[in-house]
Amino acid sequence: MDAKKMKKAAKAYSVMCKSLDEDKWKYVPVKEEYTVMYSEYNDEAGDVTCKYFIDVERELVRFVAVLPVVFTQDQYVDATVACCVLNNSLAFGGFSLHLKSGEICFNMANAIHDGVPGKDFFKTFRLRTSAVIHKYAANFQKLQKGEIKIGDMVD
Amino acid sequence: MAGDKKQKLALKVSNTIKKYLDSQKWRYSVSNDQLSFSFGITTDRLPFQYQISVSPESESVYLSVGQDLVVPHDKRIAMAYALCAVNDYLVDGCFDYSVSEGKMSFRVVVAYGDAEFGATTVEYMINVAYSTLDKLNDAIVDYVEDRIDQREFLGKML
Repeated sequence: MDAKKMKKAAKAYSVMCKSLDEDKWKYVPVKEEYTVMYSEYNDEAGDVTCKYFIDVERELVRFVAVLPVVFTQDQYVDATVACCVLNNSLAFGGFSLHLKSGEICFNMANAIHDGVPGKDFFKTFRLRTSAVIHKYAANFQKLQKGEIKIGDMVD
Repeated sequence: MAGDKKQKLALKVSNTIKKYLDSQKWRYSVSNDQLSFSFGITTDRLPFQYQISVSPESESVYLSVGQDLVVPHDKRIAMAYALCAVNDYLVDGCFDYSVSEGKMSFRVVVAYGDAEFGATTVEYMINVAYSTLDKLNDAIVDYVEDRIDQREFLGKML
């Protein structure tokens, strides 16, 4: 691994953790992987598992959330169309369907090729991911249960 | 309207983008507010329209790549299925797809905020979009234009 990239990732990870600490965020650090794991709790949807990390090789800040919902194969069309409809309304990140498990993921990445961002950047990044999860996680569950239609998922 | 500080920062970022495009000797058009750049990249298939826009409010740079391709009604669900599954394995960037219109675009966003935004990032954004589309676009166009069937299309995409 490129030493320069490793150094940058270590610095970025440190700023990322400081930003979380400042907000008294509870997380599990996996320092050797420049990763933190945490759970976003939503009153309606329950716990959403989140992975927030530095992709050393690609020089990215990345976020992956797995929503607490599993679509069956006969529901895949609804799930994929819902993801497309929502992605069209998102400025940052995107939803996708994991074909093997039927889970819905939310992914977001941000290049940091030209330097290590400050705490404000990481705070804004996390707030953006959090806002999307809280807005849509329960709707995916309702869609899966047949309680709402795709058109009801967007504003 | 963004505050003066955000506006100034956006113009600085926009200037970085302009310098990069100039260094590549690319022809582009720029919006009146100097925050949005449009240019085309021609491939051996359909031409792509690139748009790079700086948003002072969100302190972000959006790269969107579109093409004049409309997915026929009977193929729109299969396309949604494929693009949604593709988005699952992309590390950065996202296919946006309007199922009702049959139109798609590819989006890469970089929020700069208090981070440095330089030529390397501009180049990265363009390369991510180009390489993703280069890898998948033949299958998309072949499917839309009836050269391959749904099974073969999904096989190539996933």
